[in-house]
Amino acid sequence: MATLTPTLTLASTDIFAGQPLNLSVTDTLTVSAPMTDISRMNTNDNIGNGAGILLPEATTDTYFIYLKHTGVLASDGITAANAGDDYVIVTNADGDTDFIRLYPGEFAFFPLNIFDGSDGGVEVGGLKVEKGGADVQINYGFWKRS
Amino acid sequence: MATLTPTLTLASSDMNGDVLNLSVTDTLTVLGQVTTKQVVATTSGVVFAAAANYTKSFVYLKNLSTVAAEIITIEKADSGDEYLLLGAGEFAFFPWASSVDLALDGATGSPVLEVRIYQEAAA
Repeated sequence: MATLTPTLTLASTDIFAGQPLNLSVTDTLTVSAPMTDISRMNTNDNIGNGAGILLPEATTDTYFIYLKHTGVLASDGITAANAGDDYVIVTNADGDTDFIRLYPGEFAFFPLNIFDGSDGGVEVGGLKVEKGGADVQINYGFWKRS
Repeated sequence: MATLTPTLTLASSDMNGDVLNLSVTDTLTVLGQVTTKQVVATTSGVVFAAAANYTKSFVYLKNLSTVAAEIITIEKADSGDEYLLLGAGEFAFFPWASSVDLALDGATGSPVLEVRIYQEAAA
């Protein structure tokens, strides 16, 4: 087992008139394998579960997920992904849930819901990244809640 | 013009042979509505952010409960696709495509969910 400490700050000096925003939140999470360190992949890469699938559908544990769109195309890892549809769709392993879209430079951190064993049911069922237009590169990490 | 600067750090000294010390930040233009509220979860799903009322937004959620059993599920609608599972004290931050409603469902008790939504565009 290991300890993961996520900290998020949200700051703004001009979001409200006369009221700056300066939110800071942290947590101490106990995690265990299977887990990753910060890693990198293209949205069409197969890391063992199928193209773009980080966690397979039959995942029955809760995972803490980190994702970041690195802002470059998968084709060479250099060219900027600057077309309007060069976003990443974050969905379940089946590819039928679309609630997060990462545009270049954007990131997300969240605890993913578990799979309950019934395909097409009410569970998110794993985690997959899909291209919007062109395949792009992401950084990712996942850690199983212990 | 309004700018929101989110910064996420992930740290661990006992995970691998290497020390995890990630820090990422972004500069987001948020010209639209800002929603800041607390919502009480029940065992019946309640929509707290209707897709029809927002365009693309950045969402921060935190389960304010300190009771381990008071887990909050974030889902599409009551008994709909479930996305996130927030344990007591846990938080999430993500760009919401606002293509589906966001609802919450409590496993037990009456945990409170802190909700902050920052809409990207003014319209």
